[in-house]
Amino acid sequence: MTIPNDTIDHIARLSHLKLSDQDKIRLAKNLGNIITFIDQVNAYEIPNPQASHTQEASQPLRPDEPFRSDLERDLIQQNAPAAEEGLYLVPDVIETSSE
Amino acid sequence: MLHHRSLMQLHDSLKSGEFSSLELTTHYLNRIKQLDGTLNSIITVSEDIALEQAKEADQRIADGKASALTGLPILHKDIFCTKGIKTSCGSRMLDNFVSPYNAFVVQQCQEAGMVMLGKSNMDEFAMGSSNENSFYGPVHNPWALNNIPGGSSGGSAAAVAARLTPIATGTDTGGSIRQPAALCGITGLKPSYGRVSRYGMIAYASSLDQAGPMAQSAEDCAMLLQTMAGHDPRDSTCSKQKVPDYLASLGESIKGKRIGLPKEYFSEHLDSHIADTIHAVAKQLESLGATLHEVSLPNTCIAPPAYYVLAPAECSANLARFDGVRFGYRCEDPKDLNDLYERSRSEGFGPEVKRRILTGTYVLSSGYYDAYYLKAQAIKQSITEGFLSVFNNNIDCLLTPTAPSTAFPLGNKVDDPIAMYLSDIYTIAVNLAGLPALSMPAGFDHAGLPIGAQLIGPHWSEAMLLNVAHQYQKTTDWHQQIPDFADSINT
Amino acid sequence: MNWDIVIGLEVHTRLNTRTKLFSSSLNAYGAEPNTQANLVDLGYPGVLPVMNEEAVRLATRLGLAIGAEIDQASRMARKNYFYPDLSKGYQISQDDRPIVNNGSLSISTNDGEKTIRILRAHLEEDAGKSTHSFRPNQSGIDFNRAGTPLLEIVTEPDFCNATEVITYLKKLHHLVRYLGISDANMQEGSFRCDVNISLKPKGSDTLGTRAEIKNINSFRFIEQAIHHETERQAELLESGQSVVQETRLYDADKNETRSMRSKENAHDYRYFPDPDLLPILISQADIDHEKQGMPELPWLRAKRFSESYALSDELIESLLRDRHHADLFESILQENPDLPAKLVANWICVELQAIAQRFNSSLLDSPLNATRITELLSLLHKDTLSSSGAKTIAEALWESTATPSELMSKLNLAQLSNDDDLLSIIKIIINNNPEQAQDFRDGKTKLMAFFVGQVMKASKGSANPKRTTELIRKLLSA
Repeated sequence: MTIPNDTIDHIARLSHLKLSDQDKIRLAKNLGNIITFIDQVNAYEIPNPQASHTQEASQPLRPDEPFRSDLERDLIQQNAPAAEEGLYLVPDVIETSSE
Repeated sequence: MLHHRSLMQLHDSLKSGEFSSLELTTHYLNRIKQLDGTLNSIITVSEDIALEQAKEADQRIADGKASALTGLPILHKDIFCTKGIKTSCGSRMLDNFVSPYNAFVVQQCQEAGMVMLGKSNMDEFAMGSSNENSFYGPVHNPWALNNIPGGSSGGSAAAVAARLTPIATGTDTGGSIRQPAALCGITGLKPSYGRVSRYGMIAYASSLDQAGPMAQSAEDCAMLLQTMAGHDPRDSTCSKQKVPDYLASLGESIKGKRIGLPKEYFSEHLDSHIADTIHAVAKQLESLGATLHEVSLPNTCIAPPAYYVLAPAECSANLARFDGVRFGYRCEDPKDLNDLYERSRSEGFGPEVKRRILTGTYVLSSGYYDAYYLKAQAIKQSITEGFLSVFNNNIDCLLTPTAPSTAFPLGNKVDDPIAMYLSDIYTIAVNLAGLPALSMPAGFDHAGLPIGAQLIGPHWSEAMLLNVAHQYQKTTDWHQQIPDFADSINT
Repeated sequence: MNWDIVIGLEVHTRLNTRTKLFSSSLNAYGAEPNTQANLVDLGYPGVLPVMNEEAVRLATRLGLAIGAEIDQASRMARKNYFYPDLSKGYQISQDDRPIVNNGSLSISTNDGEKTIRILRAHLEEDAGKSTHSFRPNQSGIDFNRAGTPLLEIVTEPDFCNATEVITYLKKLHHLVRYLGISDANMQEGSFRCDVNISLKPKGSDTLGTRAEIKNINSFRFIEQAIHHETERQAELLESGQSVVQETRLYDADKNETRSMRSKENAHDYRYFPDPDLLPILISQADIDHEKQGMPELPWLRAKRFSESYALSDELIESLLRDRHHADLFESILQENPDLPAKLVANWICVELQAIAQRFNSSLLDSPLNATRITELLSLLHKDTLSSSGAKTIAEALWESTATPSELMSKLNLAQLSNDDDLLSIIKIIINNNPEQAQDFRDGKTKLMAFFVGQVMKASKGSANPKRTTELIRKLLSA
C-alpha cells in the first residue's frame, strides 16, 4: 500500500513537519507499510470480548494551594531560543486570538 | 577487577572501607574514557558531578549515614531530566537543552547518595529497537561490536554489559528495557505501569512508558528498584500501592511456583536455538521446584499493530511541544511562524520520530479515530484481560523469550520499519497490559550472542519476578558472563 | 426576503481558583510576563499535569445551578493544534465526556419566559497571550495565563435575536459571580463569548451555514457584532452568494467582522483522552455535599424577597447584584425584625454604596458588618438619629471600631424625639411669639418654618424636625 501524496501533505501539515520530495517518496512507501501493518487492528475480531472488570483508577485531585517554584524566569529562559524582556519571541502571528 | 563485582558486592566493599566511592567512581570514569569511544553508549559524561557526589558519599559513609546505594555509580538514560547537565533524549531537538529540574528517578537516586556518571545513549525520544535512531550515532554491542545493542535503552544496556557502570536506569514503552537487556546479556526490569513516577521522564507514549533498573543481576535490580519505586503526587498515574522490600523476598524458595509457557510465544517462527534456551530455563526452574504449564494468550499476535496505533498517537501529541519557541532547537532565520515550526521540527527530529508522529497524526485524524485508536484501545483491554485470566487461573508467572532474535548487525533493518517493529513482538503486550516483566540472561547463540528469557507477572508482582530470577541466577552463571571487550583494557 | 436568525453561544468563564487547572502557579491577572508560568504551564519536557480539585468543585456547582447532569466519570482530552501561545501543542480540554451535561437557564423575553438549553459545560485550560509586533515583525509570548482554568458553557442554538443573547449573557454573568464560580471580569478576559450565527428563511426547518465570531468581551460589542454579522449574511444570501463556515473576528473599532485567515487550515483537532490524567470520579456524596453548600439561587431568592418583603423589582435586583448585599440584608432583618425591609434595602443599595464608593472600596471589604449596620439602622428607625446623622455615623464607622451609639454620643448626634422634652421647648417658643402664633392660627401656615427654626435653635439642632412639626401643628390647632 502506498499513501497518496495529498494524504501525506495533509498529515505533515497537521504535524507541522516539512517534508522534502525525497522524504515523501520514502515515506509514501514506509508509511504505506506501517498503515497496512496497523490496519490489522481494524480487521481484528476480539475473541470472547468481556466486560471490563478492571477497576478504573481515579484522577487524584490537588488542593488549590499555590506553590511558588524557586525556578526564576531568567533561569528557565536560558533554554529559550529567543526571549526579550521576559517574553518569548516568535515571528508575528497574522491574526491574534486564542482558542 | 573491581568492575566484575555486582552492585551488592560493591556496596559491601564501600561499607567495609575496602575502597572509597571516589576510587570506585574514578575507576568507572577511567573505563568510560578508554572504552566508550568504541561503544558510544554515553552521550554526556558528568565527571565533575560524579566526583563531587562521590566525595559527598564518602563523607556520608564516614558519618554512618549511608543507605544501601550510597556511593555507588549509576548511569541515567538520557530521557530523564537532570538539573544542570544536558538532557538530549537522543535528539538534535534537545541537543542544547539543559533541564532546570531533576526527574523523580534522578532525585531519588541522588537522595540515596548514588553517583551519576553521565547520561546514556538511546534511540531518539525512545523510539527504536536498535539504538540506531540516535542523533549521537549508534551504540555498539559489547558482545559483537558490529551489532546493535537493542533499543531504545541501548546505551544503558551496552554500558552495563561492558561494565562501564555497575548499574543504569532505562525506560520501557514497548520493550525498551527488556529487549536491549536480552541482547546485551544483562538483567532488566520493567515495573508495573504506575510503580515508578514518570515525572521528569520525557514522554514518548504516556500510557505505556515506565522506568526501571538495568543491571547485572536480579539482586542488583531489586536494590535500585527499591529506591526508584514509590508514590509521587506529581504524576497522576503513579500508584499509591505500597512498595514491598524487594531484597527481603529474593531468597525465598520458588518451590510450587506455577510457571506458564504461553504457546503463542513459541510458534514455529521462533528461532529454534532461542526456543531451546527458554525451554532450558523452564527445566532449570522446574528443578528448583516450580511446575510448568502450557497456557494460551490468544491476542498476542495483534499486540504489535495495536501498539503501533496507540504509541504513535500519544507521541504525536507529546512531541508537539517541541516547536522551537520555549526550548530546544530552532531553525535559522525563520521567514514566518509556519516556517519556524516546520523547519525547527523537521531539522530537529530524525526520520523514525517523524514517521511515528505522522503515523500518530494519521490514526487520530478525523475519520480514522474509531477504526484505529478506539479499536486499539479495545484490543489493549482485551490483551489485559487475557493475561489476567491466565494469572487468575493459578499461574504465578509466565516464561517467554524476550526477543525473537539475538543482536543483529548494525544497519540490517534500518530501511524496514516493520521488521524493526517486530523486534518487540514478545515485549509489547506486557506494556499494553501495564504488567511487570523482566529479562534475564539465559544463554548464548552459536555466534556467542546473549539470549534473554522474559518473566511476566501480574500487576505489582515485581518482588515475585525478582525472586524467581534471583533463584535462577543463584544456580546458573549466564548473568556473570562478561564480554571480552569489557576486559580488553588493564584497569 | 425575511430571515430567522439562529444563534448559539459558547462562553468561556475563568474559574475563581487560587491556582491553575493543572499546576500550582497562581491564577492571577496582571503579573510581569512569564513570572506566573512554571514548567508545567510552559509545557517543559517531562512535566505532568495534576488536576485542581477546586476547579472540579466549581464546575460541579455551575452544573447544579443550571439543573444539569454531572458526569461522575468525566475525563480530560487533548485538543491538538499549534499556536505560539499554546505551550504543549495541545490544549487539555474535555471532549466526549464533559463534566456538565444538559442544563438550562430561563430568560425573560417580550413573549414571556424562554428556556435556553445548555448542552454542556466543560473544563479546559486557557492559553497564553501574544503581543503582536512586540519587536519588528516579532510577537512576544507571555504564558502567565496559560493553564488558568476555564469553564466553557455551550448552549444549543436557541436564541433568535441579540436581545435574547444579551439577556442570557447577563443572567449567566451574574450567576457565575453570585455563586463565586468566576469573577467574570470582562476587561480581563475572564468572561468571553463566541457567537455562532446562521440565517434561515423565515419558518424553515433547515439550519443555514453558520459563522463563528470569536472572543468578544463586552455586551455592547456582542450586540453590535450580532447585528453586523446578521446583515452581512443576509446581504450575501440575498445576492445569491453563500455563507462560508468559518471563524470570524469582531473588530470593535471598525464595527465589522472579518475572517481569521491564519486559522483557515482545516481544523482537525484529533481529540483523544489525555493519558496523563485519569477519569475524574465524582461520588454522589460529593455532589450532595456541593448541593448542600450551594447558596440559594438568585432567581429563587428574588421570588422569596418579593413575596416576603414587598420590595420593588428594582430594589430586589439591586440587592441581589452582589450576594454579600443580599446576605447582609437578611442578616440585618434577622437581628432586628422590626426594621422596615425597604429601609434596610435602601441603605444597603444606596446609602452605604455611596459611602463605599467614596472610600473606593466595597461593603464586603469594609468594617461594617451586619451587627453594626443593624444598630445604626435601629437608631435611625427609632428616630434617635436623623437621616443625615446616620450617614455621618456610617461614614465614621468605616474608619472606627466604635459602635454606632458610641459614635452618636461622641459626635453629639442624638436626636431629641421625646414628646415631653420637645413640648416643653415648643411651649416656650409659642409663648414668646404670640403674634406669630395668632397669625398661624389665622391660616398663615408658612410660619411653620419659623417655629421649627426657633425650636432647632433652642435645641441646638437636636430636635427631630418631623416630630417637632407634628407637635407644633397639634398645639397651634388646638
